[in-house]
Amino acid sequence: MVMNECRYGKTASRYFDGELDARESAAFEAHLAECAACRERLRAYRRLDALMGARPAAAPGPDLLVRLRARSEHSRPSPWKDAARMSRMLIPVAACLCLTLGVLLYAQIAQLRNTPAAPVAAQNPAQIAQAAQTVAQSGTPVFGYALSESERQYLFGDNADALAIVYPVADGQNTGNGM
Amino acid sequence: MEPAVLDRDTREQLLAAHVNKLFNAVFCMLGNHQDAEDVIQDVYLKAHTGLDEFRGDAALSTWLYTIAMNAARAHLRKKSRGLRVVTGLSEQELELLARADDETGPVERRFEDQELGRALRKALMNLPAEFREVFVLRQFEDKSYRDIARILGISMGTVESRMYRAREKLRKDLWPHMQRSGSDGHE
Repeated sequence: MVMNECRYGKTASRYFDGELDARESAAFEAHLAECAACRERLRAYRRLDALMGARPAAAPGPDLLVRLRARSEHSRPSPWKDAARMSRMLIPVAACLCLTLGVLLYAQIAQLRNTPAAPVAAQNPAQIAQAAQTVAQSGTPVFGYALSESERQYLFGDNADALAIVYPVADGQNTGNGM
Repeated sequence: MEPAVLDRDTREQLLAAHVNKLFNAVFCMLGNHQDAEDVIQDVYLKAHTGLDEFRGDAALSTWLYTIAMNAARAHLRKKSRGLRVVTGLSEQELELLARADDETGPVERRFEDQELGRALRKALMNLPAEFREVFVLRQFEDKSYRDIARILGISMGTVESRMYRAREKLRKDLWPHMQRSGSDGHE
């Protein structure tokens, strides 16, 4: 086997396959007349081609076509398959629906949490502080409001000793003139 | 070809005309009769259902070979995950592989019993898969470089290069047989 390398090796392969145009073929044939390595390469390609040509084509089993037809028959889309495909398409819709419901539910719960607790009356600064602490346990900001005499009467009537009301406020709610 | 809904018989006739050639190409890629039949079944089903979408941008045979070679590649990839890649095996392993495959396929068995046939298959299977697919399409399916490029989704330059390298490797691996046969083919 001549192992001489020639830079036209790939061209020889294309020439052998008839993939060169007329101009390229003529140029390669001119080269071929002078290059022993390329002549040897082409001889080897012809031998290889003859060897491969001696190989009979592989054939499938005689009943392959019958089996293929039977399998394609079974793979015909059935109404059940259509229903399954539909249900697969509905999964994203159902997911969106669940998400929307979840968001609505969460908003509802958040709104309930933000509802201010009942005001607590306090009669002196210590009680105001204690009431504020009790109310503040909910974790929301606390707003205390010192009552005027008329307000005290109006809101608490007999409980006339109340000095202020303390209650939690929702985020962002204007606290006015807090204590 | 305009996209049209083909009736079942037409579909089957079109595919039946190509099955044997597709099988041969896939068999050359995989080197195993049973694997080739499994792949061809998938190819047939895919082509059967996809025929309505075939728009005739390329020849039907090119489209079918594209499906078949993609399926063969996928099968090789799948197989190489669980087992070992068929290329790059030792001489002894390839011999065992060739003998093991003789157990299947009545048509191939007759052929593979011959030493030359076994040597050819061994040499073919020892080619890297990307060289083998180019060589198989050119040598056994008589496809032009342009068609091969279309089928495999690669450039013409890559086809030329892979074909050349496949030939050179086969020439080296099969040199003793080529000497023995003494045939110069067309010469």
